[in-house]
Amino acid sequence: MTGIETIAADVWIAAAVASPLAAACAMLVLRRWAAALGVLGSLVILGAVAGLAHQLLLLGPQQLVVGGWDPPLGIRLRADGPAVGMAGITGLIGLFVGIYATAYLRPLAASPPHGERLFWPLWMFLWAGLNALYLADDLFNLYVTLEVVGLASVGLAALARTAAAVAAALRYLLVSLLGSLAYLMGVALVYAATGTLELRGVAAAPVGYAALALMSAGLLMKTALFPLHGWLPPAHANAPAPVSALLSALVVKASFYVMLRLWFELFAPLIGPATAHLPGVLAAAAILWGSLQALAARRLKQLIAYSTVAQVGYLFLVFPLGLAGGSLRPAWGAVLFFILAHALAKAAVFLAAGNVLKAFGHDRIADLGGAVQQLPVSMFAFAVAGVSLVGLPPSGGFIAKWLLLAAALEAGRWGYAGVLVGGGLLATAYIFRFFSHAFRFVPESVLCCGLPRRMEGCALLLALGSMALGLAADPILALLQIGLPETGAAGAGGAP
Amino acid sequence: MTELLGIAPQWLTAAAVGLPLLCAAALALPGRRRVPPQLVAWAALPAVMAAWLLPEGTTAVFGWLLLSARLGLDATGRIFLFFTSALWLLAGVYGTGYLKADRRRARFFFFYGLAMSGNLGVVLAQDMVGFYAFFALMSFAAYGLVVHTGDPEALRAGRIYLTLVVVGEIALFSGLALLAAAGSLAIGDLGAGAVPSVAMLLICAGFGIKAGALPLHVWLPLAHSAAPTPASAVLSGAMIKAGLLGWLRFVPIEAAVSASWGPWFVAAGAAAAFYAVAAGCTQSHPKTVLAYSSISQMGLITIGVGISLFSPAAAAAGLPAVALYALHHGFAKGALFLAVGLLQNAAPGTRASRLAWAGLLLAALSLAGAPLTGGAVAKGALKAAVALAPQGWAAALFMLLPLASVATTVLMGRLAYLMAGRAPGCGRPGAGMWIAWLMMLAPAALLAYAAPADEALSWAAIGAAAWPLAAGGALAGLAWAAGRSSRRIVSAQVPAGDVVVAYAALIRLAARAAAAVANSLSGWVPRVRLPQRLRRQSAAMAAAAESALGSWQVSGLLFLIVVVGVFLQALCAG
Amino acid sequence: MSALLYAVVGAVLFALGLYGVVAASPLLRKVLAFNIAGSGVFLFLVAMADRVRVPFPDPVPQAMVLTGIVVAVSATALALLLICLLRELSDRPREAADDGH
Repeated sequence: MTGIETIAADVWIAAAVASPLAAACAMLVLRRWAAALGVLGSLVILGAVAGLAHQLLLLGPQQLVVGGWDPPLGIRLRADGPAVGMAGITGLIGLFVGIYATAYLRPLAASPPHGERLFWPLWMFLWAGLNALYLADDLFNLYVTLEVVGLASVGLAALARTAAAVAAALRYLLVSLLGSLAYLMGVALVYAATGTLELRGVAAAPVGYAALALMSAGLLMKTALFPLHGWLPPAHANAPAPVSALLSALVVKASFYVMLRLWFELFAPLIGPATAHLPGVLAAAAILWGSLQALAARRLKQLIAYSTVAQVGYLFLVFPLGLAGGSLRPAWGAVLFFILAHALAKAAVFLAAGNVLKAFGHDRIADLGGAVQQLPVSMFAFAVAGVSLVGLPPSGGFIAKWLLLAAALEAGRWGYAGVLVGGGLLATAYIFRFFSHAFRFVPESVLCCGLPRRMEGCALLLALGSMALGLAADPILALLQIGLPETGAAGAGGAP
Repeated sequence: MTELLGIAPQWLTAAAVGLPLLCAAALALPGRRRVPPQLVAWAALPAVMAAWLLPEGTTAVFGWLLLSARLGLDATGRIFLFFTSALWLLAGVYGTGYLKADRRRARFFFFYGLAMSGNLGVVLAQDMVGFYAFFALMSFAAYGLVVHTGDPEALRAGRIYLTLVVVGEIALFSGLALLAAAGSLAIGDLGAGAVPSVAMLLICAGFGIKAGALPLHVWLPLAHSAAPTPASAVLSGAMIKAGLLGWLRFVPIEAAVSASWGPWFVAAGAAAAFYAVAAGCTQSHPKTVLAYSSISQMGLITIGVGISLFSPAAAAAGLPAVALYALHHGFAKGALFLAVGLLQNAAPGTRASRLAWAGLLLAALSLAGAPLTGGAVAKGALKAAVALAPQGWAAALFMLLPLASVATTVLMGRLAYLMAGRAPGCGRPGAGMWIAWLMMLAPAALLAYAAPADEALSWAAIGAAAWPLAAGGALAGLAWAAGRSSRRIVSAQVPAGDVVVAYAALIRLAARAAAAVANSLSGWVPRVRLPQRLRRQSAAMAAAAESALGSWQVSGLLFLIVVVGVFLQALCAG
Repeated sequence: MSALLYAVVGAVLFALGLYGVVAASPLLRKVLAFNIAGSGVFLFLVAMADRVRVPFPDPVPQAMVLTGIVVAVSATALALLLICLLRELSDRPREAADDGH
């Protein structure tokens, strides 16, 4: 615990969690300055994560024992490849979505005392929760951070204050609480069985299996894997665009990230090939069902929300590919890369949809003719991010799908390979379906208002980011694989 | 050589691919009025330099790019890079003049730059992911070139093109991933492991779409003729060869498993060589005729690939022949397209028009393999490779190849007929267009004198190459005369894209059949306007199912099922 | 022995609460059911503290329960706030979530 490097890592870890918390508290006091504080805070957090990534590349996984109190009563945070990768993508998306929100939420801020002023503290609490969740190193802290993330997300989802949005948020809250409670009961069972909260292997006993079932089901519900996805489309489609972007790009991934940690670290001894195929089957169904619903969607934001339902399916393919006979390392890298690629692309798509909604005053797909000629920048961003969602080169989505497909073929899982390819076809179909309307030529302008330049710029930058992610895939992949869990891949520690 | 210039090889390879991309990006920037669009044409210069200067075996690894991309130059790559870069440069220079009055030329050159970068990247890529990424970039950017004019024909061509591109991309994605699972990502290491036949099929079909292989060629006559002339030149001259290069790179040519694929390639190639001429002779648009000629010539190249698959000895002669043929066809077809463009611009009877006619005929003769032209050399190399094929195949192909020359001559006769009857032009093509065209024409015509094989210049070779031309010329003349006396022969027409009409009809038929089957299964649905109703009903059912999944009771039950399911399954399995 | 009893009662309360969250129709009842389920988990955790008695009961589950109560209180507050808001907006607090899309 001595040496200048370790101290520096401690500082970065602490800053990544504490600075959004501090910013949130400051915003509650200095309401007038919320937006400025928010952008400033985003930069500070991003800097902390960048410092942490630097430490990680130099020294490998880092940890911080908060206040010097050892677990189980104290809190220990650890920063390995996945955690820093997730925190990094959160920082990047958070910064741009925040800048976007300063323009998007203006009219909301004028109406009663909510809108923008509530957005910022809630988003900062959410950000603190997300960073703490990525870094958490024991079961109970994961529970607390899950709850922080869930409550803050619900607050954000209700921000639009329409009946539909509040109803969807309430529903989201209850689902989220249901999931967390199941998770907490699982924690209690694990503690009963092992007497520890660490993410180490659980012995094969009925209590362990019950914990596995409860925690997994709770997290599946929070991640909205088919058929437990019913709450997601209304909540994501009715929230303001920057909130939709945050929810779809980041929050859904947070609970999946917990699931990933649990299945690969805590429950690894309990999971045989047959069990690992259960999420795989649901994943295939999710890809199919979500894509079909996206094809049938009438509103643009609904289409994008269903696209999230479909894309969440791809994430769960990691379990059959990584735990059912295949080798862990490729599947693990593939799914983390998929998270990053999807987060960037989906955030860009939601922001572009927000621009459409603002400029047209509605988002009914059939009435969006002329969008391409009147919002060329936003539509270009939508198209570039769409390329990543479909999985065409050289986007991040392509690399992610390529890695997943390679893992599937290496493990000899032809069915999953078919699902991957078919899912790409369906995604092409729903993205093209939107563009077939948007490309329609409309002689006169149908926009109801102009857009601030930063709204289009943020969408474009995130979309280009999803492209750049694919171009610079190798170093990012190397970072994500630092500190790979040892199950199934003995000695596969990560060097940059 | 590169050391003399003080340029590190990896910088040259990076610039060859990167510069067109940068130029295209510069065009897309908001202040684009400042950047002259024609700059993009000159962005091919680093690639031209790389083709001449880089030593073979150069590899540059870009660890940060994609999954550690490798760019480099090998023997095959050099030949491809040589004509690909030259064609992009010359067609670009030509296009600067051709599109001078076009208001959308910035958009044209934007896509031109992207497609150029993709095509050069395909040639230089030494790893699978990079190859695929550049291939996709090229294919999708070329869509912008195909639909440039924006008229309904171009849009239809673009739609059909895009459909086949997406189908091809998916086939390649799966095929290459299968190949990667069997081997490694580096191109040099391929074919070491056993290659599943599914992967072979997907790769052959995926690249076959780009190369215009027979049943998949339907997009080509439409797209190549709809694009502006300089784009047609690179589409038919350079980009079509990316499909061929894909075959050469990813079909494990010397592996024993591939030998059984040889006959298929030869048969498909031979069928394309003759079928495309038959279909092309009925066309009434000169550029469509040229596009069909490309399909036919790619058929001959496919025969060469097939022969190389038979045995390693055949491959040793076949692969260089294929590369040489591709090089020759690239220049000749590019020159033909540009000549058509020049003739459409030049007023008839002028010296310019006569020069263009002379060049057109020279390129056409070269394409048909006339003695003393580049075509004779290319055909000679192909014949030498054919000699190494198994007995029966060699005999059959020795019969077929001269006949293919006859067919090509007839098709070129058709082109000349159409050009003679064209509406007179009135423009004055600029000097840049002439120079670019002549530089493209020169290698097509003069390749014979650069090649070391001087037997191409012997009397026997000249005689062997000359008779198919004479026969073809006579046939074309007869048809011309017959056409004069009765218009019926020439007015028989196959729609451009020939079987695409049949495909569309098939798809409609399949949809109708599916609807009919569904209809008979559910007798209570009224027969009238069924597909519409069926679609609405299935949409309503999906929506109903979705809202049921969304209800609290159902989702609570599902939650419970998941809990119990995971528990029981884990317990039983554990 | 009494620890086992508490644990079983906790598990039963948890199950009842879950049933209530899913099956109860009024939103307020769902929130109450959630609190019951939460209490069940807490009871179960407190019973777990009995695993170690010497020199004092295991403090970890008790710490978890304390934190859990804080979370449950704030979640309940948020849920009540949203129910009020929804009533204000639509005058229809029952199951309005289903027609959210």
